[in-house]
Amino acid sequence: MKKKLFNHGLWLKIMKISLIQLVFAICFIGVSYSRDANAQKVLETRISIRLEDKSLKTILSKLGKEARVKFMYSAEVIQADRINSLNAENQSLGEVLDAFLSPLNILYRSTNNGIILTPKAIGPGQAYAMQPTKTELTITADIVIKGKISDEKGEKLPGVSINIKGTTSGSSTDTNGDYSIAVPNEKAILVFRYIGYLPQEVLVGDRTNLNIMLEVDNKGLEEVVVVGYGTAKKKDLTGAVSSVNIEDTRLQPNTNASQILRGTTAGVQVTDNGRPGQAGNIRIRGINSISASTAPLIVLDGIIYAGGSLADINPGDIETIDVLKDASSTAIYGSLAANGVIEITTKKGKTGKPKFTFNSYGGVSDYAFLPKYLNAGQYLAARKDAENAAGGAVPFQPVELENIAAGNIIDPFEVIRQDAPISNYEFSVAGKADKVNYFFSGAYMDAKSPVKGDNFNRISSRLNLGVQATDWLKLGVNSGYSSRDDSGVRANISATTYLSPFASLYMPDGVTPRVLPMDIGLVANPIFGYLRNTRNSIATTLFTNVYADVNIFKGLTYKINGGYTRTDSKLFAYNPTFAPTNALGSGSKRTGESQNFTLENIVKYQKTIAEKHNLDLTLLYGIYELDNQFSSLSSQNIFNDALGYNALEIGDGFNVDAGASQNRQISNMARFGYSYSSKYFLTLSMRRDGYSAFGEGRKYGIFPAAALSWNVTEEEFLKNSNYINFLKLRVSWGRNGNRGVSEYSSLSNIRQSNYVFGDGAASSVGLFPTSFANPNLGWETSESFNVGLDLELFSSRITSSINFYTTNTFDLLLNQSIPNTNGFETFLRNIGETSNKGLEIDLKTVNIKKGDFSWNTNLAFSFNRNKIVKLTGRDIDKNGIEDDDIASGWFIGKPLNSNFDYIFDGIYQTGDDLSLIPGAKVGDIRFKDISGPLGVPDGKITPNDRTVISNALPDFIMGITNIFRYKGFSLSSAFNIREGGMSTMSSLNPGSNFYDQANFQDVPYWTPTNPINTAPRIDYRNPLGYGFYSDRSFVRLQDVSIAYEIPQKLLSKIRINTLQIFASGKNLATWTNWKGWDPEFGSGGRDVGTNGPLLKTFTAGFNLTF
Amino acid sequence: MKKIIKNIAIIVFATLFTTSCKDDYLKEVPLDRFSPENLLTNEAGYDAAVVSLYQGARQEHIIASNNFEYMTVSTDQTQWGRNDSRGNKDYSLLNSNLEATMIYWDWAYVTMIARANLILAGIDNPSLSITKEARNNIKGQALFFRAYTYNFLANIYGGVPIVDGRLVEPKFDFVRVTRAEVLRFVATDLERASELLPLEVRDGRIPRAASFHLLSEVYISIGMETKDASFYDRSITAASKVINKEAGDYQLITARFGPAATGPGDVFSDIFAQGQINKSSGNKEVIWAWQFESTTPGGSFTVNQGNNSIRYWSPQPYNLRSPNGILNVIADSLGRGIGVNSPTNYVKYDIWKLDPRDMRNSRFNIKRVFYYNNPADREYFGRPIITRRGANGNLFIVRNDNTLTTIPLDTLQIYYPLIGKILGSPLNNDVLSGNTSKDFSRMRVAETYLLRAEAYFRKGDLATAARDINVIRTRALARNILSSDVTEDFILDERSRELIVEEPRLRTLIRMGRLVDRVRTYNSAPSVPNGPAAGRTIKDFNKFWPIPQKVIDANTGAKFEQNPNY
Repeated sequence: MKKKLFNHGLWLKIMKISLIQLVFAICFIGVSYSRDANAQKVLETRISIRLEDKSLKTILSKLGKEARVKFMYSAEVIQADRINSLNAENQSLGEVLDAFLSPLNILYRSTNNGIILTPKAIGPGQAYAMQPTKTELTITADIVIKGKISDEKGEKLPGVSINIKGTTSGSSTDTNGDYSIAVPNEKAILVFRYIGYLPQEVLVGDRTNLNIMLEVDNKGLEEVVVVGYGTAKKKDLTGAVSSVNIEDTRLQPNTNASQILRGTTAGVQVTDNGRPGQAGNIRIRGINSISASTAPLIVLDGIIYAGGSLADINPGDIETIDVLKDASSTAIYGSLAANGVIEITTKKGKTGKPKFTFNSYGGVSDYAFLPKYLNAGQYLAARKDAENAAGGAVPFQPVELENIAAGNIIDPFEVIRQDAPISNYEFSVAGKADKVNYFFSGAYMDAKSPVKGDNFNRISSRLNLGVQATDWLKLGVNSGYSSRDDSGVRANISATTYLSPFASLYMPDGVTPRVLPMDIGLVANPIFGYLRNTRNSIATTLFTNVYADVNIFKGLTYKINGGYTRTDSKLFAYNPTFAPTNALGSGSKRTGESQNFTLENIVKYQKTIAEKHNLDLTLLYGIYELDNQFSSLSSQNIFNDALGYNALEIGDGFNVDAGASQNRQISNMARFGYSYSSKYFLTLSMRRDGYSAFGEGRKYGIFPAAALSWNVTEEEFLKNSNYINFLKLRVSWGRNGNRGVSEYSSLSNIRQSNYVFGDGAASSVGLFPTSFANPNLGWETSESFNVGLDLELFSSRITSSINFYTTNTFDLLLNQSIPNTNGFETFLRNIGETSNKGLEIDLKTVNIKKGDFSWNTNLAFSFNRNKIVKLTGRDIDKNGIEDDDIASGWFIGKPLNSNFDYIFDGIYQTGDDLSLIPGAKVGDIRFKDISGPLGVPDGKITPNDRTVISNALPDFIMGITNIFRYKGFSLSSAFNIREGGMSTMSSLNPGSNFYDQANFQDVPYWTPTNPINTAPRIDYRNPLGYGFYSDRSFVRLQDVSIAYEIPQKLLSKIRINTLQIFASGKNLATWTNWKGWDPEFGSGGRDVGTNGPLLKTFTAGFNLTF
Repeated sequence: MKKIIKNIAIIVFATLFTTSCKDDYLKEVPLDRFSPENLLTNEAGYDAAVVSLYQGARQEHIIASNNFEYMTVSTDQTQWGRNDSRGNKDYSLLNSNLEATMIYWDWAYVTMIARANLILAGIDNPSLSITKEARNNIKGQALFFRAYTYNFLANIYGGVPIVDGRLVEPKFDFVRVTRAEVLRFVATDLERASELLPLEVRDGRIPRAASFHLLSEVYISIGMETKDASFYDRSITAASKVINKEAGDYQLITARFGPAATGPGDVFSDIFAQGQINKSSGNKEVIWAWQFESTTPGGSFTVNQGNNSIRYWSPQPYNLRSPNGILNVIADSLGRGIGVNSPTNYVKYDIWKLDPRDMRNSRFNIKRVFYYNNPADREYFGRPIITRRGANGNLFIVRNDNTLTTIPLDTLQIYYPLIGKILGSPLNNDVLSGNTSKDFSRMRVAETYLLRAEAYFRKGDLATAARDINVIRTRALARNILSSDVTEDFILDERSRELIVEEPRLRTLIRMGRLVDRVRTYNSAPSVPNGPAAGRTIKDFNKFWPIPQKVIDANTGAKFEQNPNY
C-alpha cells in the first residue's frame, strides 16, 4: 500500500493541485501511513475458516467476525450477492484476502475502522475514473445533483451507492468519491449507503451540489462494551451488563454522571440529593450490605476510580457508561465490586480530522418539591387549636405578637431563596494524527440552588492521549482535572421549617440579622451564617491513568496500568465579630489531601484453535493504596476581623487537629474465556483479594465466578428467522466480597475529648475508646446467580434484556446494636445471611418509524426482594425459630429496613375505652393489642405488641423514556417511578414537632370538632415512639427536552457540521402522597441533612460541532 | 490443547497463591489514632484516659440539654414551667421508650463505666513504669467515678447489671443484680478509692474527701436497703472524715471571701460567685466541681454545652412589659433563661416559712424583685416591677400610681423567683445562650453535714442530727432547730434550702423512697388548667425509672427484667 501512494499516477495528480491541497494531501499521507501500521497488524491475524457456497456478503461477514474486523463496501459495486466459497487454515488475513479477493476483482485497503473493499476497475491510483452507473430512469430527469462523499476523516469513499428514495434509480461514487445523479424534482430524497457506515438520507431541496460525510456505524450489537480489564462485543457477553444510552441524555442539564443513570437502567437506583453539582447516591440491585458500603465501584477508563467522586467528571466527556450487575461480570473486581460496577469510558479521538465540539446551556432552578408548612392563617388557626387542646393560653413570643399586629408576614422558604442560575460551557477537540489519538476538553459549570448560599461551580479539563509508539507498544494517558468550589454558607433548612410566618429575621435596622428570629432558642436564624460568615471550600482532583500495552507475540499482550488520583481540599471559614452577642471572631483552616495509587499488571493471551475454539486468558496482579491526611487549625476570640481566617494566631482557644489514614489492597485475578463458533461462550474467573482493614488472618478472600451464554440466533434453526434477529441466553454464578469498611475498623478506636482543670488553665487531653476491637473482622461474601436473556425482534424494532437473579450474602459486615451495658452501642462484625431476588427488564422499542417521524420508547424496570435468612442462630425462647434481633431491627424472613412498631388502630374517640394504653386520652392513637408476656393479648399495650408492620424498600422502580423525532426535531420525556416502601415521617405528628412554639408541617390532626381517625390530636406526645409511616411511591416527570437540529444545508456554508439547539426541564412534576422532603431520598423530618430540596431546572442551550 | 490448558493452569495458580511474602504490605498500622494498646503505656496515657472520665462526668449536666432537666423537674422542687409540648410533667409518659430514660442510662454505661473499667483493667499491670503515687491516684479516680456512676444508676433504675471489668467483645447476656448488690459494689470501690486518692488535688480533680462524702451517702442507702443499721455508723464515720478534715482541708465557710466579698452579698452568695468555686480561690467548702471555661478547648464552650443553669432555672423577665407596653431587654447580669425549672410553691415559699431571714433566702441568693430595664421607657426604666393580685386572683403589673394594668403575669415561665446560684458570666460573653462559664459545685461540705445528720437520724440519734443541721443553719444565720424537729421530711426540706440547683433531687427522693408521695404532695398543680401534673399522674411503680427498652431488646442472650409495671 505504501508503494501505491508513491506511484506515478498519484504524483501526476498531486502536481496539478494547489498548494493548500498539497498540505492537506501531506496530512493524509501521514494518516494513511500511520494506518498502515495498524492495518498491518490486522492483516496478520491468523484465520481458519471454511465456508461453502455462501453469498459474498455472508462470507465477508463471517470472515469479519473471525478476524474481528469490519469490511466496508458498497454491496452493489462489489456484487456482494455473488455465491462463493472460502477455505483457509491458519493463514493470515492478508493471505486469505489476497487469495480470495483477487479472482473476484476486488481490491482491499485496511484502515483503522476496517477493511475497505473496492472493485479492481476503480482501484486507487487509476488515472481514469469509473463512470457513474447509469440506470434507466422511469421519471424524467430534471435536476442533476453532484457531490463528493467522504468519511469522517475526509477520506473519499468510492463505490457508495446512491438511491432516490422510493424508486429503483441509483448511482454510485467513483474513485474520488464523486458522484452525480439525476433526480426528478426538489422533493427527492437521496439515500446514501455504504456497508460499515450509517446510511444517510438527504432532501435534495434547491441544491445541485451535495457533499456528504458518512459516519462509521458502531451501534447495535457490534457495540463494544467495557467489561473490566477489557472489552467485549455486546453480543458476546456472558454476564449481565447494561449500557446507558448516553446520547439520549445529552440534552438534559445533568451536572454529574449519576444523574445520567437516574431511571435509565434497570436495576440501578439513583437518589438525587438536590444539591447542585453533587453526585447522587447509586445502588445497583438493592441493598446487599447494611453497614458496609452499598456504593458501586466506579471504573474510569479501565482503572478503578477510587478516591474521586463522580461529581468530578464532566458528563460531556463521557462516551459510554456500562453497568456490570451480575457476579460473573463483577467478580473480576472481587471485593471492590459487591455492589456492582459502573464502567465509565471517556471520549477518545477517533478520526483524522479534528472534531471540535462546543456545547453550552443556561437556565434557572427552582424548588421541585417542598414539604408544605403552615402559612400565616393556618399558623394562627393551629395556635387556636393548640390552646383548645391545652385548655389554656399558648402564648406567642413578643416578636410574633408585634408582627401579627403590624401584619408582617414572611414565607420561610422565600426568605431563604436566592436566584438560582445554572450555566455550562464545554469545549472539546478530538482527533487522530499520525500515531496519536487525542481528546482534549475543558468545561465550566456554575449552578446555584434556590437555597441561599448553596453554590457550586466546577472547572474541569481532560486530556486523553494514545500513542502507537511502535508496532508492539502502545502508550497512553487518560487524565482529568477538576476543581470544585462549593463556597458559601448554605441557609439552614431545618431552621427554616421552624420559622413562624411572624418571625423577624432582621433587627429593627433591617440589616443586622437577628440571632433568634422568634426569640426562642429552638429556632435559629437560617440565614445568619449566610449573611455573616465566610466559608471557602474548594476541592481539586487530579486523575491520571498511564498505561503501556505491549504486544509480546501473537495473541499475547501485557498491559501495565498505573493510576493516581489526588484530591486536595481546602475548607477555610471565618465568623466575624458580632456585637449583639458580644462574639469576637472565630475561624478555622482545614486542608486535606487524599492520594490513591493503583498499579495493575495485566497479561492477556488470545488464541484460536481449530477454527472455532477461541480462548482468551486474562491474568492480573494489582496493588491499591489509599492515603489520606488532613490538618486543621482553629481559634476563637479573634479581636480584629481584617485578616479573617488568615490571622487565627491573634485569637485564643487554639485547636489543632491532625490526622491520617491508609488502607491497602493486593489482588490477583485470572479470567478464562472460551467461545465456540460465536455460539457458545464461557467465562471463568477467580480473584483473590487481601485488604488491610481486616483482622490478622482474615485479610484474604477468594472470589470465583463462572458464566455461560448461548447465542441462539447463530444456530441454523434461527438463523434465517424473520422475527427474531437476535437471541441469547445467559447464566452466571459468582461470589463477591465486600470490603466496604473503612480502615482501622477492626481496631478499638480512641477519640479525644478535653477538659480544663481550674479557672483559666490550659486544656488537658482526654482520650477514650469508642468501639470494640474486632480482630475477627473479615470479608462479607455475596453469592449470586443470574439468568438472562437478550433479544431483538422484528428487524430490531424491539430490543430487550431480561435478567433474573438471586444473591445470598453471608457474613454480613453489620453494625449490630448491642446492649450498651457493654460500653458501646454497636459492634461491627460479620454475621448472618440475607437473600436478594430480583428481576430486571430493559426494553427498547421503535414504536413508529414512518418517513421522517419516529417514536422510540426505552423502559427500565426492576424489582428486588430482600430478606434476612439467618442471624446469630440463637434461640433463647426455644421455640425452634431463630430469634430476631429487635434492637438492630433485623427479623428472620423479613427484609432489612423493616419497620418494627406497634400496629396503628385508629384514634381514640370520645367515649372509647382508654384502658389499653396507660395515660391515653381521647385523640391519641390506639394501637392493636396483639401479644403479652405469655404470647397472647393481655389487655395492655406493651413492647410485646410491636411487630414488623412494613418495610422501606420499594416494590419496584421503573423509568420510561419516550423519544419522538420528526425531521430535525426531537422531543423526549423521561418518567421515573417508584412503587411502594414505607418510611417514617416524624413531621406527621405536630405533637412532637413544637406545634405550640414554632411552625410545623401542614398535616391533618384530630380535634374534637374534626374527629378524624387517621391522625392524632395536635398535642399528642407520642409516648410509645410510633414511627408515623408514609408511602414513598411517586411518579415523576423527570426530564423533558426538545431539540432541533439545524439542517445541514444551512450549516455547510459556515463550515459547521452539526448544530443542535435545545430546551429542557428537569424534575418538572412529582405525583406522590408522601408529604416529607422529596420521596426519592425520603427524609420525613425537618432536617434534610446534607441533602437539599430537589431542584427543578429549566435550561436551553446548543451543541455545536465543526 | 492439553499443553495449553496445563500452562494456563500453572500461570493461574502461580499468580493467585504466591503472595505470602507480601503480607507485610497489608499489615495495618494506625497512622493517626490511638487504640488502648498504644495509648495505655505510661502515666500520661492513663491520665488522658482519666481526663476523659472528668469530661464524661461533666456530661451528666449537659446531656439533658435538649430534654432539659430531668433531675429536678417533676420532683417536689420544680415543675415544667413552659406551656409547651416538651418536658417532664406527665408521669404516664415515663416509659421505657422515653428519651430521658435512655440518655441517662447511656451516659452511665457508655460514657462512664466503660472508660473507668478500661483504666482499672490495666493500671495494676506490674510491667507499667509508673510511680506508686501516680498509680494510686489514677486508680483512685477511676474507682471513684465508677462508684459514682453505679450509685447514680441505683438511685434512678434500682438494681442494674454490674460490669466490673473491661469487656473486649460484646456480651448479650447481662442480668440485673439487686439494688443492694449494686450499692455494696459502689461502697467497695469507694472504700478502695478512699485509700488511694490524694488529700490535696488540683482544682477540679477528685480529692480523697469526695470518696468519703459519697461513701457517707452510699452507706445510708445500704442501711436502708438491707435494714442493717450498722451502715449508718459507717456513714457517720465516713462523713466525719471530711468534717474533721481527716480527708483533706475542707470546711464550711463562715466568712465572706474572694473578690466577691467586696461587692454586695453574703457568705452564701460568695460560695457560688463566678471564679470562686474552686479551692485555689479560697473556697474550701466545695469538694468537687464540674469545670467550665469560655473559648477554651475542653472548657465545654459551645452553645448549650456550658453551665446550663440559667437556661434551665431562670424565669424570663425579658418577656415582661412595662405599664407603657415597652418590652424589657435581656440583661447581661441575668442572662436568658427559658423558664423550664419553675420552682414549686414548696421551694418558693413553704421552706422559707420556718425562718424568712434565712441567709439562703436573702436577696443575694433568691432574686424576687426584677426591674424594668429598657431605657426606651423613660418613665419606668430602673424601677422595680410591682405586682398585685387582681380580682380574678391573677397577678398583674402595677403602675407607678398604684393602679393595676391589664398585663397579667405568667408566674410559671416568665415571672418567678430566681435562685442566685445559677448566675455567672455568660459563656463566651454570649448573653443569649443562657449558659455560663461558671464552675458547678457537685459536692460541698454543707451536704456532708446533711448526710451525717441523716445517718444520725436514721440511727435514732436525733439530737446529734439536729446539731449537724444546726451547723448549716447557723452559718445561714437561721433559727436553730430542736431534736424533735428532725424528721425525714425536715432533712429533705433542709436539703432543698441548702442544695437547691446543686442537688439531683430525683436521685435523693428515689434513694429515700420518697419520690411518689413527695411529688403528689408538692407538685400536683398543672401548668395549664386541664393539663397533666406530675403529682396527679405519678403511680406507685414510678418509684424507679424504667430500663430503656433498647437495652432489653438488644440483650438477646438472657432475659433483662424490666422494673415492675412498665
